[in-house]
Amino acid sequence: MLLADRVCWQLGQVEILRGVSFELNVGEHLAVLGPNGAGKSSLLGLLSADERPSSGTLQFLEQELDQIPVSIRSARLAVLSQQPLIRFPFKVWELVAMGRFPFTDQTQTLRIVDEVLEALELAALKDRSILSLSGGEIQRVHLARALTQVWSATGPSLLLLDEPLSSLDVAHQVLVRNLLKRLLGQLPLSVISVIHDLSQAAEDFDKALLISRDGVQKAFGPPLDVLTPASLTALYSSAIEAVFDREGRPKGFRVSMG
Amino acid sequence: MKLAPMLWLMLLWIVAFGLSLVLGHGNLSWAGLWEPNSSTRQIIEAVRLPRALLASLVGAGLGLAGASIQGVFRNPLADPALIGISGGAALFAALYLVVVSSAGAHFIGLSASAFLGGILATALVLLIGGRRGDLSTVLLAGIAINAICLAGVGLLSYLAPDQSFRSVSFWALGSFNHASLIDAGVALMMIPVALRLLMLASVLDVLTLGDLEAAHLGIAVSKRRLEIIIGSAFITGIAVSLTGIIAFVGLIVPHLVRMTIGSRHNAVLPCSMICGAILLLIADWFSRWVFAPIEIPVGIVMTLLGAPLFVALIAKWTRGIAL
Repeated sequence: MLLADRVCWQLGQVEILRGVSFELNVGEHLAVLGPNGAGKSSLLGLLSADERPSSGTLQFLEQELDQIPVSIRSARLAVLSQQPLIRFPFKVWELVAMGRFPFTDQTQTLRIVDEVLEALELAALKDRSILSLSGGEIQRVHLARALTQVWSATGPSLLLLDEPLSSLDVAHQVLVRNLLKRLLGQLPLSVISVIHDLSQAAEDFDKALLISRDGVQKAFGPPLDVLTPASLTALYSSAIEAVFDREGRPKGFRVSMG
Repeated sequence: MKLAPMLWLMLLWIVAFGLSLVLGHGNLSWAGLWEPNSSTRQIIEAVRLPRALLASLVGAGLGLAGASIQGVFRNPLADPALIGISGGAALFAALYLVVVSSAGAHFIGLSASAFLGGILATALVLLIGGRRGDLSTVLLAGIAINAICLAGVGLLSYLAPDQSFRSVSFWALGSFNHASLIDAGVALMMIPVALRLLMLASVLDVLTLGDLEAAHLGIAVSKRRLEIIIGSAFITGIAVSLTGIIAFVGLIVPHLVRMTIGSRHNAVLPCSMICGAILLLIADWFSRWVFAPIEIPVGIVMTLLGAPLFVALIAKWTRGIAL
């Protein structure tokens, strides 16, 4: 469904991404991992069609991504970026309903908004002003907005999430992870998430993509093949050692202090 | 769309409109109301009716332009006068009167010139303040542009050879003195543009999310933003060419609407129009009543009312409290 072939991206004179290639099928969840500044968010920007690759190709539904008409793309591709600051006192449900802008059926919109709010445990906050919410709550509201965009997907759809769990407490992290698993089973959906949590990468994802600090792709494949002690130490720093459990799943990092 | 609050507001507007016809200096009598050529009829038809019509139309226009500008800049502290649109419009209206027609009777040319000035001022503010409409830079750029424009208006009034050139205070502090039915007719030019802005209500909602987010939802961001800015500048330009600068209507009114009715633009835009009309009818009555029989410019009333509120909003803002 999604194919990236030697994608490079330059911002002015700076090369941010140098040759990223991967393939993603319907129902798969891809983790993008790498140190800060590796170009993970830039990759999501290219996949959202905010920017065009300076070389290489990005295909979605067997078409060049930037050739897909906006009306089709906006109904098939939802993005949760790192949260925008909104200064108007919209109600929670009003903000979530904006995710239905590409669709015309208004009665369906209200039903979908209610379902998504329920699924993310936001129903009690439905009529609250978004300006009164905590960081974790507003993150769930924006996630809900992105989910309403693909909630009724009948054809292959893509959800791009930039650190979707970063402000959530443990209980809500579990809620969102389970919800995404359920949606991947129910809808013709693929998800790409930028994450930092290694244990999550091993448990939730079908594929993982490692990008190094200089924007070079270090590995791509099933998480347990990709997340090896050698690759992770090379990716972050020699002072950091990945910790694995008995089954060879990465659990986290150990830091050797100077 | 929330219909109930809009109907209540319409009712309020009708009451305010009726009161502004009968309240004020001068002897009106109920009997005179039914007699043609009575002094009551003359006062209402020649003075009060054009004034009430113009106050309603300009108030509605400024309310709508303010709400649209705030949405498109993602900034609840924006106002056509604060960010320089009105100043640019006033300067170009004055320029038109001095350079092209000192008689000042060519309304279309005057309005078109004011519109052009509004657009140019907006373009400058965006150029200085950055395209994303960052709060403080846009306001600071607006202050600078406003100062330049008002200085220009002042200079023109000194250099103008013709005594009929209306005084600086007319442009700097808007007023409804000398309102005529022709003025009200010119103000009707706002209607097609206003209708287009009303149709863009849900686009404005989504634009408040941010440029990229709006693009992800299928909006042609640059085009729609330009359309909304030009539409708002057009309406502001016409308003300024007819009445001079009336500040703070576009700031106060959308705030009141968001606080009491809601933030979605399909409510904010139409309700801001009706509230703007009501507010200017009240402000106009006040400006005629407070030092009667002397009339003070309605712009003074609005600034005295609006500036403290603006300060309160900034204070709230800097304390990080939700607006």
